[in-house]
Amino acid sequence: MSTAQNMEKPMSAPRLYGLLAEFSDVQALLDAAVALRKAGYKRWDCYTPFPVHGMEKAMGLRPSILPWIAFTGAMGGVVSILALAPLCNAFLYPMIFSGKPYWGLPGHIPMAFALGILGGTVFVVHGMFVLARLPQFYHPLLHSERFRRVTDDGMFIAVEATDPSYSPSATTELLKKLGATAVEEVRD
Amino acid sequence: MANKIIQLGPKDQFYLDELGSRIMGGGLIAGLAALVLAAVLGAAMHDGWRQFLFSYLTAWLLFFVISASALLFVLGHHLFRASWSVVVRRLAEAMSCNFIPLLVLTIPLLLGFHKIFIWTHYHYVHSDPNLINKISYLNIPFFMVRSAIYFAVLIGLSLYFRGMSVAQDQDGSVARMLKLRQQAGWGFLAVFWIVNFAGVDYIMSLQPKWLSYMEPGFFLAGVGMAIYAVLPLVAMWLQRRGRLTNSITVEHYHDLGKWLYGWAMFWAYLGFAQYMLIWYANVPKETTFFLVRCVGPWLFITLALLFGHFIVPFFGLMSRHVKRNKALLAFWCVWLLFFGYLDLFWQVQPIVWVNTHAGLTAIVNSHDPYRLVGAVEKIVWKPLQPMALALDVLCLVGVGGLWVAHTFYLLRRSALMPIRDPNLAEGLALENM
Repeated sequence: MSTAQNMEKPMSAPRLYGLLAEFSDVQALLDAAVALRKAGYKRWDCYTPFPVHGMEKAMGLRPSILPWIAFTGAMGGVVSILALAPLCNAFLYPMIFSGKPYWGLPGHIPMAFALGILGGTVFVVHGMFVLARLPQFYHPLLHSERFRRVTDDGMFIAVEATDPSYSPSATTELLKKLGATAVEEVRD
Repeated sequence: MANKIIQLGPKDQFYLDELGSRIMGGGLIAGLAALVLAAVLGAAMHDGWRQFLFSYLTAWLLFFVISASALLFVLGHHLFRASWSVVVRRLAEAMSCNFIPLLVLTIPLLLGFHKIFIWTHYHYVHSDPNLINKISYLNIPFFMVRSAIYFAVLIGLSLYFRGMSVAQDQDGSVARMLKLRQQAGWGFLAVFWIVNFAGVDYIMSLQPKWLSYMEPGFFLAGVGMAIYAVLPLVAMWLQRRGRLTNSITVEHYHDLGKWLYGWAMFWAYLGFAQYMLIWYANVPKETTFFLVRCVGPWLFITLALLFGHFIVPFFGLMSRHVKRNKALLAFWCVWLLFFGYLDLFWQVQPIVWVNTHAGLTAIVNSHDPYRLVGAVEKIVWKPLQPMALALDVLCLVGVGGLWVAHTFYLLRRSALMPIRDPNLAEGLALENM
């Protein structure tokens, strides 16, 4: 939507997204993440070609609520089928199957198991998409030529301009002091 | 972490020293004393020999299960080329090498063989066409040959895997590790099948008329879980005594906790699968198993297993925060170890008196399985009487004491960790995402 508006107004200057800093290795990145967190930055993220152990601690990330979403989905599936099956089989349409009682709990457990898995997986996948704001076909960082190496061997920290502590000169200084091999401004 | 330099820490203590001797001596004395007491108590009770045999069989099975579980852990470690489990592997290796003492400890069972296994009774077997057809499998010579094969393979594999690992402490040879990886494949399969067949021979054949294809797998699920309940407890105890304090971290406990949780759930999955198939088909030769276990007090034990081995730990041990908290993990290890024992108790003990003359007349003369209930109800209470439970505890302490003594005898003779394993550095640096 905003992209379409931008295309109608080509004269307006591109919005500043923030600063992109490249780091040479994992340890420098981890140290920089710790320093940025301690400096009070809030809106920033690290980008690496592979998962980095200890990154969530370095960045001070809180545990995700995704497990609770999955748990809710799974329990919802279990409870709903354990309510629906007796409702149909024992009350609305009482029917005898292979000589079992109307409310034959053991016969309902496999369905509860299956629905539990279904609910859990559906909620965890969709919850992950919502929490990670996916699908996202466009990101300002994709404008940077340097950032392409993030899928190969590049390790980056991007500090967004909307961060309350952000200042073009001071943040650049800080990133360079932390061992960034290159710092550049990224525009939307 | 790529750049993290692994420090073993000069302060870390890899040897048990005199602590090992003390535990060994304590276990030996406690074990022998408890076994003697149990024998005396059994002799004093009316027909106590029968109860002693079944109490002893339950206790023996628990430690058979833990040892087989430890062996599967070691074999699995090599089979999957794991590195996270290196730090606790030596403890599992020592526990897996208990099959020689366990073999010696079968002596009371062999003496009471005729009392334990009703399929050794000629008239009983020949009273039922189904049992006559089972004679080709359920006969004493074949049973002994099978058991001999189980123990030969279990002893051979456990000694070989521990021996190579201990030898690696001296020479640090990578070739040893590669050789073990080569042998782990067939070894894992062999132990897998041995455990399945042991479940049939040592538990299922107690009720020879019973038919269930799920029981061996159900037994296997219990075997799979045991080591993950024991290892964290042993590791925590060692760390409290100043051993391996810098080596085993919360990350290792977390992984052990995940396996514990997974196996406990797998146990429930197979246990329910067995129950549901039998419930649905409702065939007498299958339902007898649950019939006896849904009579009187055994219904509560069955339900206790359902809740204690599945529903309560399902919620209680699910969170990663619980698995990463040492005290809580220890609580769940003790909890699941207890219910692992109760599981064996539940499989072995309800039929102690069912297989006697009184029980058999009721079974043989009845064509309606539901009429069993009244006759059986009187005798199923007997294994739950205080004296019988005292025998259970004494046998548990007896076999357990000797098992602990032998485990610590082995632990004392080598480092508590494979200190020159090529994967050790990676295992020490383990981090869960």
